[in-house]
Amino acid sequence: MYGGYVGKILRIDLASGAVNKLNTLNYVPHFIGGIGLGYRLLWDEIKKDTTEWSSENALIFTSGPCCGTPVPTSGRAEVIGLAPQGYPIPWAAVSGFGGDFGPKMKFAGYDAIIISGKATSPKYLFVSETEVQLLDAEFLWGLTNYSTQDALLSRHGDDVAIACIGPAGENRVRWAAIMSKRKNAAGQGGFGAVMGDKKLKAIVVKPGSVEVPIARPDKLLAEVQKVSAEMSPKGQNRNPLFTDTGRYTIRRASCAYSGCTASINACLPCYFNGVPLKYTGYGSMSGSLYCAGAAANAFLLKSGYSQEVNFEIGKLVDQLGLNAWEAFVGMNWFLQNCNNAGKLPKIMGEAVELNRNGPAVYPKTELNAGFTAELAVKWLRGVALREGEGDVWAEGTPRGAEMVGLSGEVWRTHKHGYGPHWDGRYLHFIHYPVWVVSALSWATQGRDPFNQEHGYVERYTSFVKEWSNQSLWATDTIPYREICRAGAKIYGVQYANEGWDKPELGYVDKEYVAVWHNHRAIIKSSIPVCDRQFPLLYDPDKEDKIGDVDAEVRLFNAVVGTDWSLDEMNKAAERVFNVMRALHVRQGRNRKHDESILRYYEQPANWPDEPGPQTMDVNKFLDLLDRFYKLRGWDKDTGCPTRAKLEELGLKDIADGLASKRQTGG
Amino acid sequence: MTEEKLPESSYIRWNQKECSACSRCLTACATYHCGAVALHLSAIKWVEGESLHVFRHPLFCKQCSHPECYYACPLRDVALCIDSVTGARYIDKDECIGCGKCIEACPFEVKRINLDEEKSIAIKCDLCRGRVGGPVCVAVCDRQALILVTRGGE
Repeated sequence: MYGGYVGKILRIDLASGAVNKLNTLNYVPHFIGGIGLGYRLLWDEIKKDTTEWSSENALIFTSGPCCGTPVPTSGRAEVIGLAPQGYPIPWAAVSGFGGDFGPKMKFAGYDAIIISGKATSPKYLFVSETEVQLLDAEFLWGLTNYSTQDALLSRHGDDVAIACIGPAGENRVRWAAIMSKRKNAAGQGGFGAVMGDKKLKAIVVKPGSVEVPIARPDKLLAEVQKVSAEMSPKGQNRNPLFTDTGRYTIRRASCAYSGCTASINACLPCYFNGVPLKYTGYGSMSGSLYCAGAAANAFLLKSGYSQEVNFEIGKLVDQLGLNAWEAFVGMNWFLQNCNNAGKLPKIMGEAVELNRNGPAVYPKTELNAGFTAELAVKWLRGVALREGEGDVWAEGTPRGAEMVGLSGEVWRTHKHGYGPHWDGRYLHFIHYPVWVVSALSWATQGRDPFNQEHGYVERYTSFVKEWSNQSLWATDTIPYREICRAGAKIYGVQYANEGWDKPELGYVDKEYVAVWHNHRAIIKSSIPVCDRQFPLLYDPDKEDKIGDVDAEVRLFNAVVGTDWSLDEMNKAAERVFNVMRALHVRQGRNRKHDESILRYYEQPANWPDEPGPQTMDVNKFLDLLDRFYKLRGWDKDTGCPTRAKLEELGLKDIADGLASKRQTGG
Repeated sequence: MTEEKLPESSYIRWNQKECSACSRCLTACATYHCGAVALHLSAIKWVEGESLHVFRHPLFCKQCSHPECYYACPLRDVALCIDSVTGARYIDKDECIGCGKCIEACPFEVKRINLDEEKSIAIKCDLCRGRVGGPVCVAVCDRQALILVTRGGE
């Protein structure tokens, strides 16, 4: 018997109301939990022709073995399914959220919940240790996320955890979020629209007496203390949690099961800076009523607005249940580009002129699209309620652009249906060759570029002394040369981090770095722990500058009772990565889709004073993609996992599933 | 019934200003004492309060100077005892019969004692008697929002 898992997976068909329970141990520990478990369940649930709106389409909520334990940042749940935001095909994708839904789903007795079928009228699902009930939700339909939760908390008690949708999800907006509490959201992917399509307003889990067993309690508690200390940059935990003497609240959270939060998936060290005090009150936690600060929201509005206005726009997004990332760092910049090119003089019927100093104009970069608050409210409400032109943008950026004849502009900001994210072109201006790895990762993802690999691009970038003006972490920094030496050991290849000051090395060995982080992304979203914190790559205090890179494995072993090495954990992650790829291949994915990111990188990175190139070298990148496929054991021409690779990973049934479509490439 | 004056107990003080409401104290308590985590296995209770717009926070046993739980226990000094070192009012798991009298007697609206119905024992803060390094909740709180106030302190 393993620790960490509670042993059952709940499956409900909303059409018939039929409930079954699967045995978690048929899937773990070899699929770990979290997104690993989720991708495997999704493969079993859906067929080749299943679309995001098919009745048989499944929406899967999972947690992992460390969720509900004292493991720092483990309070996470994951949503897995066919993502309406994906383009041109709704690629299978994942989106995580923090808070108490994951732990309480386990305390109610389930490691995962599979939602299949469609209800004919609005329902919500109530799950407790003894009951699974599909209840009428007519009285909730049309309510915002906050009102919905208030009503459900009144009915079922303060101790329940809730995942729900707002009007945007009900109206099948392709970038609708699933929200939990005031501050947690599964935003990317648009899974809120899948809930809405299934007429499922909310899932309520009531914690019961189900116990999450811990295989090695003493070992776990020792590891928790060690890792917790390591993951907090120097002095971070000594910063004041909040200041209540000024106008705004600042709060830094540590997480166990309150995990990661906020509509933009901020997590430890959650910086809830700039929440107006009038919303929080003195001495209270910003997160209880409202949480995330106004930082991301400022990317939408033109400069000059007060923090309060930006914050309130952010909360409107949460209440409507839109994906804040797409609103503030995706579609807004697409609209801005079109407006600046004179191709979209009106938005929501109003003649507008957006910010001309766009987010990618060096050196006069202004990170805002330039909406007025009035236009922002009109646009956001229009999208969520599908009013007027909002109905167009409710279809997401690439599909909306098609509808109004602006397809030619989409490449600047969106690929696979998602806007920029740590790719070095918009918002996160990272250095060459960091964005080469980012590009390689984006090529083969179903989602945004570094959707679960902040541990590489954000942490690494912040540790380099020469780049330290980019630091978000208040850490000590490390000279680039020492980072290169440490990287060679971490990744096992000489030129892993090389290229910044020796541009000819920028594409060398980068396939190993991408594969390494692909796997780490799966590990941390499967056990689960925070994406921004892990892996703990570097440590300025260590002589070799290498951080605690196998922390996740030790935490997993202590909870579950396994004795896995990092290599064994990586093998499990490779298994999951190939299930994800197989799902995409079955949906029609091929090398051309992967290469669709190339044009995006024709746009320069914004470091013209540096020695490295500012745009993608297409030939070098295609060669790198070849090497990546080879390292992965994928067919070079199709990008499909080979039968040999799938069988090596114990995925013979998936190889058979793909073989019938002649897609295994030998 | 005469009630002799009991020794004061050490106790855990919660510092709201430092607490980030992460719940790690709760999960660590259950992990250390029960080798498993569930809300009822922890001696630390939790106020959610989201609907009331109040701060989510933990609730700790006060180790009362006049412990109603202790006086209510039918096996006083056998099942519910006083630790000679810390003064903690603690439950001897081997002796507790799970009658629930201590829970009934706890004067707080949110009772600070839990019942493990399966094992038929009450779960109450014992300040981690005998644990090297002191109470586990204090040890894992990386904000140092929990403070062990030793008896005679303050």
